[in-house]
Amino acid sequence: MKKSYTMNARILWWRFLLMASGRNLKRSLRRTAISLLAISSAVAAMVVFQSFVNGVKSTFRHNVITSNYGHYQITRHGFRKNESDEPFAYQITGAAKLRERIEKEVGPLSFFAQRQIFYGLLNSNDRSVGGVGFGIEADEERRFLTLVQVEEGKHLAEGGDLSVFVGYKLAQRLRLKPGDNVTALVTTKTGSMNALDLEMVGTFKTGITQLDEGSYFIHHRMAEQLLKVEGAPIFMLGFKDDDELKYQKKLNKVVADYDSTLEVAHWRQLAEFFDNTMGWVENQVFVFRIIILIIATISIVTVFMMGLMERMGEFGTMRAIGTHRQSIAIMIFFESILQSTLGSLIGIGTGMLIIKGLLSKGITMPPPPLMSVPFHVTFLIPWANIPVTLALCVLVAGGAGVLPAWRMARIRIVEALGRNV
Amino acid sequence: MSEIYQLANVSKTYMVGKVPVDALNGLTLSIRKGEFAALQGPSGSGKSTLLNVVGLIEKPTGGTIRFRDQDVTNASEGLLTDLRQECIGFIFQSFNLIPVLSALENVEYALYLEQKFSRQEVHARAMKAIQSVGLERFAKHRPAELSGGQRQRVAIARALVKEPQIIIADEPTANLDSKTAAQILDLMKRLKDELHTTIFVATHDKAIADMAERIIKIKDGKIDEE
Repeated sequence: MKKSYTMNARILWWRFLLMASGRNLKRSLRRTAISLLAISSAVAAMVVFQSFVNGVKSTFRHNVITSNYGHYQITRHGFRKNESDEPFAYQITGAAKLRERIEKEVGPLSFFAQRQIFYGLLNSNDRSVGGVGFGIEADEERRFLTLVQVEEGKHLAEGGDLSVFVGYKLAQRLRLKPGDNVTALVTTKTGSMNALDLEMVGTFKTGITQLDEGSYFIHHRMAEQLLKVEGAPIFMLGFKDDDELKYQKKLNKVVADYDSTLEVAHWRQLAEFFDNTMGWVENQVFVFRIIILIIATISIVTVFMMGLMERMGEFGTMRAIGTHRQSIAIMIFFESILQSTLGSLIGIGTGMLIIKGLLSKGITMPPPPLMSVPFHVTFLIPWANIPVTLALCVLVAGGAGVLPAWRMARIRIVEALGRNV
Repeated sequence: MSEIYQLANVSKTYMVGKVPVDALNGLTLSIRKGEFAALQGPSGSGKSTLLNVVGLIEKPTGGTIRFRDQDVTNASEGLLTDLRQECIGFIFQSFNLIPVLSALENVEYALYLEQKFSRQEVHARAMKAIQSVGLERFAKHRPAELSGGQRQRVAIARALVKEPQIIIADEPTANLDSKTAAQILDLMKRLKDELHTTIFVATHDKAIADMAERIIKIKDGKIDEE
C-alpha cells in the first residue's frame, strides 16, 4: 500500500503543522523567551559589531581620501613606476584647462590642485634634516583635505609666497618656531642645487607619523621656481559628491580625450593599505560571527532539546496515530525557524536601538598603527548587511533545530508513549 | 467473519540491561473483522506489548503478523505508519491528546494527517465526530479545559473520525469515574453496532469485559484462555 497525497491536502497538512508549531512556541513562554534571548543577543551583537566596522570603514575611508589622496589623482603613464628615477619627467601643465573640462563634462569639483613632490634638506639653527617637500595649492587643498591640522602658528594658505608649513615633529627636530627662518635645499630639474629661504608660518599635525615627522609644505608656485619646473606631476581632485565612483567612467574618458598620456587613479588604487586593513578587520568580524553563532547555536539546541524532551509523550502519540517521521521533523523544524526568525528580528531591532541610543555619539579609539591621533568611530547601521545577517541567523538558528528534529522523529514510539502518564 | 489479524507464534523479547525478557512468548491469535474482543491478564503478562504489536507500533522479534491478509511482519516503518494512519484507531488510557490543539483540532489532526481531504471536508467530518461524542459545546476547548471523561470522548472521536477498521484501546476507562466510564462504554458499543468496527481492548474493567463478545486472557506472554 503506497499512499498518494494531493498537493492541496499536503499544503493543508503543512499549514496545520505550522499552526501547531506557533502554538508550541507560546506554550512554554519562559523557555521560548530564553531561546529568543540567545538568538536576539547574538544577532544584536553582530549588528552592533558590523555597525562598528562600517563606522571604522567610513571614517578610515574619509581620512584616507582627505589626507593625501583626494578622490582621484591624474598623472602621466609611468609616473608612479619611474618617479624616483626621473622625478621631473612627468610634469603635467594646463591644470586650469583640464579642471574646466572636468567640471563641465564630469561633475562639480570640490577641489582641483596641483601637487609637486620633491626631496631635499631643510636647514635651520645649524641643523639639517632630510624630508619630503610638497608644493601645494594651499587654498584649494584646504577646502577638501582636512587631515592637515594646524598645530602651532598658521596654515600655509594664510602665509606669504615664501612660507613653509612643517610637520610638528620635524619642526621639533629642527627646533623651529613660527616666524623662524628655514632654508630648503633641493636638486633642480637640470641637476643643479637650488635653495630657497623660507619663513616657517606654522606646524601641522596629520596623525600620520610619516608625514608629521618628515614632511613640509610650500606654495606650488614657489616649488616651480625652486625646482625650475612648470606644472606638477600630480593633479588631485575631489568631487562635491562623496560618491566618487559614479564619476569614474566619465572622468577616465575626459582625461584620456584631453591627453592620451594621462591616467586616472582612484584613491583606493593608491592607498593599498586601505583594502589590506579593511580585509583584516573583515576577517575579525568573520571570526567574531562564527564564535557568536557557535555559542548561540549551542544555547538554542540545549534549550530546544529540553523542551522537546518534555513533549516526547506527545510525539509518541503523534507517531502512534500515524504521523510520519518527516512530519514530526517538519513541525519541529517549523518551530525552530519561527523562533529563529522572531529572535533575529528582535535582535536586529535591539541592535539598532543600541546603535541609535547608547552608541549614538560613537566612541573614540586609540590611534591605529602609524597614526598618532585618536580615531573617532561613529556607529553606522549596516543596512546593506542586515538582510545577510538576518538570513544567516535564521539559517543557523533554524538549523539548530535539525538535530533535535531528527532525534525526535526517530524516537521509539512505545518508549515515548510511556512518557504520557 | 473473516480475520483482520492473524498472529502466528509471535514473540517479543526486550533487553533489560543485559538480561533478555520475553514479553510475548510464541503467541498465536486471530482477530475477526467486526468482533469486540477484550484482552485481560495480570500486570506484566504482555497485554501492552500485544496491543503494541497488534497496533503495528512495535515489530515482533519472532513469528508472523498478517493484517488484512498482508504479511506485515517485516514491513517498512513508512508502510506501518500508513496502516496505522488509515486503518487503526487508538484510544489510550491517558487520553493522549495534543495539548496545543482544541478538541475539534485534535480530531481534525487525524484527517489532515491522511492528506486526502479538503479543508471543508476535514472540518465537517471532525465536527460530526465531535457531535457524535456529545462535545459540540466544547469543540474549541483545549484538553486542559476538559474533564477526564470529555478528553477520552475527544480521543474516541479522534479514533473514529477516520472510520478505522479496528480500534485498539488500552484501559480506556481506567482513569475515569464509573458514570463517565459507562458513557465511554456506550460510545464504544455504538461504534461496534453502527460502524461494525473491530474493537480490541485491554481492560480490567468488568463492564467492558461483559460487553465483549470474546475475552482473551493472556499470561506470561501466551494466550492462557479464551
